[in-house]
Amino acid sequence: MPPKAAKSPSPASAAPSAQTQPTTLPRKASADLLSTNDSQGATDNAIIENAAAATKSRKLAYPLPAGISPTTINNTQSLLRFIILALICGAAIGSRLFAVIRFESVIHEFDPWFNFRASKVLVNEGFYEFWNWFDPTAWYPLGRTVGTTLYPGLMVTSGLIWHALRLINMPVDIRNVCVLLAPGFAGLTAWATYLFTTEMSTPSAGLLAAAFIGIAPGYISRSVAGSYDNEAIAIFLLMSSFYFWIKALKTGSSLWGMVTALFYGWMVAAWGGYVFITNMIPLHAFVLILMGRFNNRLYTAYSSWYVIGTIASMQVPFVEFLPIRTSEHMAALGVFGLLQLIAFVETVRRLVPGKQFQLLLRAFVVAVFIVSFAALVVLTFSGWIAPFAGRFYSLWDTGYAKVHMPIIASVSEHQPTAWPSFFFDLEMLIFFFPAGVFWCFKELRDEQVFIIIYATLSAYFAGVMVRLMLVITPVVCVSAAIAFSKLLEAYIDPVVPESEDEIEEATSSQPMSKAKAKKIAAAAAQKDKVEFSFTGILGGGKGTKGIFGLDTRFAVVSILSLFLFLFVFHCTWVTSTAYSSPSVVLASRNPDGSQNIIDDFREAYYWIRQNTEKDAVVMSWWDYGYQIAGMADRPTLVDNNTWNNTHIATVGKAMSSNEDVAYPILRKHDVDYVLVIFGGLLGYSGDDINKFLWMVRIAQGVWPDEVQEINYFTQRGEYAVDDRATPTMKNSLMYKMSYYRFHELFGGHPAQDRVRGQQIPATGIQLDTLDEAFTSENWIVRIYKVKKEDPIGREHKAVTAWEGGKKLRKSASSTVAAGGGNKGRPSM
Amino acid sequence: MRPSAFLLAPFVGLATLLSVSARSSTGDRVLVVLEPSVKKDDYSKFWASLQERGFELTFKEPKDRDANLVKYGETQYDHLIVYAPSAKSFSPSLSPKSIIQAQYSGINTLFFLSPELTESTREFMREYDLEFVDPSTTLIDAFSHPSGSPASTVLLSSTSSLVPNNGEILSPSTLSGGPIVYPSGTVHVAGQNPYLVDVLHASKTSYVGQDKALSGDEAEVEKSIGGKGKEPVVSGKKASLVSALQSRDNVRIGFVGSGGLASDEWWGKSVQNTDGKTLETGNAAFITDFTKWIFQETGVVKIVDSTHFREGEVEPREMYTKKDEITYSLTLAKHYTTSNGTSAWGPFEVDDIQLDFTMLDPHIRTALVQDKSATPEVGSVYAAKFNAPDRHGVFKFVVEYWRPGWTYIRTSTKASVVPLRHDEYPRFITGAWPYYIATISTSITFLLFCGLWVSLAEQDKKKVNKGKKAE
Repeated sequence: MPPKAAKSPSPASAAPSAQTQPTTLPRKASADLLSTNDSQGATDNAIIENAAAATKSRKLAYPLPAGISPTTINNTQSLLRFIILALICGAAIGSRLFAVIRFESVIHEFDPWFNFRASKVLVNEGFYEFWNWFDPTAWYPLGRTVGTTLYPGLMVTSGLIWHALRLINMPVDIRNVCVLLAPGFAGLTAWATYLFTTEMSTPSAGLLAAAFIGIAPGYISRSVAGSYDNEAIAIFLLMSSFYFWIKALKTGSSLWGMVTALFYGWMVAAWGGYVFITNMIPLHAFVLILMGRFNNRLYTAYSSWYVIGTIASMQVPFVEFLPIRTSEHMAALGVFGLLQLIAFVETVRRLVPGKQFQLLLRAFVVAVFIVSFAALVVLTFSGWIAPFAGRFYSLWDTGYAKVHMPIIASVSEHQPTAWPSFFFDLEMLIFFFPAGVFWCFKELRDEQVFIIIYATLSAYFAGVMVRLMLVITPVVCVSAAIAFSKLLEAYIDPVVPESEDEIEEATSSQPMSKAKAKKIAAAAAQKDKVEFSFTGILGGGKGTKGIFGLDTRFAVVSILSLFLFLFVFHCTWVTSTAYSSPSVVLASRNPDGSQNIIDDFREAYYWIRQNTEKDAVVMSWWDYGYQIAGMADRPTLVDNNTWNNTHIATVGKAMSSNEDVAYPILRKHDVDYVLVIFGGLLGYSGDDINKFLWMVRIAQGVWPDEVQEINYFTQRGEYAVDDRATPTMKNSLMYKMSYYRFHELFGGHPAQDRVRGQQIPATGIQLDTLDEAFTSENWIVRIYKVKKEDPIGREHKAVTAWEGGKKLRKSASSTVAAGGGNKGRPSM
Repeated sequence: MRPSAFLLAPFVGLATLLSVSARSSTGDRVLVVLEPSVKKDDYSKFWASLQERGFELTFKEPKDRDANLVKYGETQYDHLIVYAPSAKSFSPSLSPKSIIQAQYSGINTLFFLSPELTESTREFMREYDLEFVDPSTTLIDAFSHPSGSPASTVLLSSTSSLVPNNGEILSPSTLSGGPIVYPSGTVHVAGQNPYLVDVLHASKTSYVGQDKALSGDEAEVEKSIGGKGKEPVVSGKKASLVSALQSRDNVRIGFVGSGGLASDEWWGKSVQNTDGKTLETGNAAFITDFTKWIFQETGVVKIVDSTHFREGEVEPREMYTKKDEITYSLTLAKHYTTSNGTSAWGPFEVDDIQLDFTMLDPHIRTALVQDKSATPEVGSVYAAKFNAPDRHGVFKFVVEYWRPGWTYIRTSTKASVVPLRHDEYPRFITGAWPYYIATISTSITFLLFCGLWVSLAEQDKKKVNKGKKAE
């Protein structure tokens, strides 16, 4: 043990350096002492050299290799960081491949099928054809001008990759590019998150953040292989834009501002969630202004981002003039204006001193702000600026969508988030998240303010919509990584402070707000000799117990390591069980444990593809529109691009009405086949009967007199499909199509619906206007053919009765009139 | 089904009767189902007239098991005559269900009925929305019947009882020809089935009743109930005697309330009416016209061709741009029989066809005008020229021509109307000059400003550096 008197720099002399460079000191300490811990990083040579010079003799908790030159340390660190980052990328990609290995290289779910189809058009027919693509098979007969109603970023990205691969003589199927795009970009996201976090904190925190984002289920849920959706590349773009924004803000360089704008432009082209960046950056700038941190760096960064970014975003056909016409974009414009005003005022103030003049200027700023805000309000109300979109309102009032827009509320990913899903998607990160935010408050430089704002906003949004879980995941990873690395740094740092008295002495002479920095500074400054001795229980001596003891360190570090192991274990388990199902192919376990693949969807879609006319119109609930278009290649009435509520309501009405009402609707829309999803036999809960109430609600929104939700519930308010079901329910087209001939499967035994757990009445369901055309192996997909009008003019009910052997006792018209009544002209 | 029958017809004709060629547009194989009580020889003139027109008749009884109308999905006959009103049972191949199935596959049918209709036949007829009066009641007209015949042999004036304006069902000569003898026939009421066409109805003075003197007791009962509890008496125009039905698929079905109408007894004979005038009956002409129509000889129109193209082009496009000038043309041909008795297609000239350009609802409805300058191989050309609506979507060119007695003309062709391509918009617009000027002036001013800034900054380099340090 070194004598206590042997300390050279006094606490007083260490204090100023701690004040001037409060954040570099921990780095310094870690840089030279913790070279064994590969997740710790260094800054630059100068600091290391300084630190090396300062640490001649110190008390250490454990031995360190001596005699290694700072350059070697630095190079090793760089190499290790690179290798670790590469491994993290590999892990991020690898953990997303469950679906490909278990099933096959297949596009998942619903929206990806459309993106895949669009990518094929782009690759096969070129960019201009893609841009001008009019799809007559979608939203039949309205059609969809696809090129100008989608975010092309995703398809263009994969198209470019496809072309690049062909250029180097690697002819890859576009499907494989699409399937593997999300994992590939997940690797890039890890890299971008590393850079972003490094800007916020240390490179070691950056590596942790990269590792977290790489395998966090909250992000994996949207980016497994085959999940070819906008979010697959959007999170990478989000993190890159933020990174470059911070970079631009720190350097005050318009070059970085422009790079931010370019990534922002790419983001706009890729995902509707770009509005988050559009509001996040102005909010950050605005808060900085309020904090009195306006400076030329902020001005340059923001102005170059806003101007170039807005012009870039307006190049996307789908966005076009939205940045200057909608409320969502007004914040960015407002802050841009505000910055100009403040810059102007600052310039004038610098040139013309004088209190009165300043007052005048301030009044001018306030006046301009009020006038422009009033102009904004007037423009909004006069219709020049569109008010917030419906989805946006539902962010503020969670009940809004259910009342006003059932179509939005009906989407499962628009539901409010359940509490357990935070833990499910983020595991321990959600607990470290506030700690990280706390650390940001501690330091509170410009970039930490960004994290705080981001955390606050996204925490709210993630609570409102399940889908926005994706937005909170990056900030949770970054924030948790900061907290985690602070903890690790504190406990792995081998430096042991001399005595409590001196530390107290050192701390008491400093203002309390810098306590942490001082503590470390004092500890570092006291060392003048590197010396190792056992501490804690092993040391046995007095004064070696407490948090600096090796046992305490070991306990804390091992618990943290256990957390990390559990996190990896949890993430892998969640990814494997919850997020790797393609949903077009289902898997179940046989009694003997072997896997049973349920491939009903593709079976049915290929049946349609091979057995129906090329222009046969298939009606289904909108969930399956993209899949039918993608796999069956047939026109559909409605699809997952839910732009026309009335058209969807029409389908909802047809499904929820009886045959007499539904048939004219089907004929008017030239429907040839009706497709329903029925899970009652297998216990597949995502079937149409479970979605049925949404169809009713959406139809009711348009035809409140004809469709009423109350009629589908029993008197006791239950949603029943068994004997208790109401006549309206039993006569609805959806009910009939789902349970048609269902009881025959059970050979006289009561028919059991395994999803609802109810017994289906054995009385046969009679379908007059539809013919059963196809039912898949496990009855998940049932397809019905719409009958044409009877050639000799009978009602369909009469035809069914006639074919069933029933004889007419009176002619069809005799009940209406004595005869010869007016003959309506039948439609085509 | 029909095209194949159409193709087959010449071969069948060749194989059987080389001398006679078909005149029907669909085929000449006729199955005649006669119940045993109907004597074939009583109708020899009718059969002869059919054979003369090129039809090949096959006679069967209702219970014949080998009388398959459709075999292995192929129609075995093109037309069917059923004269078995009182037959109690039919072989499965001739059951009502089989007959309707055969009609679905394109077999035209002519039913001869009588007051002795069995209940099962009545039920069958109800499927066509025809309600027949009570059994054993017939049409009676005390004022108009051939002299020497009972009141149930009604003599119907061709001018008042035959329904005119039914396309080509009846020829003008028949409509103004001799009276039609309707011997002991039944009466039906046609329902609201839109495919039904009334061809012959009763006269004002005729009514439905039993053609016998009531016995004393019966008269007493009749008096006491005062006609109550009976079916309402149908008479006049509401009492249909001969009806026709053309299905959606243009299969034709005829219902003749009295089989005796076609018998030799009244075929081309002269009769004396109650006024004592001698007139030649119109039965032969009526039956001939009616069977011609039923067997697709008259009133048949086919769509030879339909096409659409953009102004200046000839080929149809799958996609038209908004406001394109589109021409739609339709070639229609009418079937007729040549003087040497063969089937042929000729021009079909009308002036009331219209075209709908529709997406859910018609966006454009315009007249299809005959293009006399066009010289098609066969038929007449109708064309319409219009501008595509300013609305994108999948549109249909729909022509529906629906006139009684004519084949229903229905055609629907899909084509999309799409917005302008990215490079099809006008590049420079006069109205946008203020914006162009604003853009250009801003750019120039910015360049000037940059130039000034750079040159000024060069001069004040020292000052700027100082300022930076101060910061």
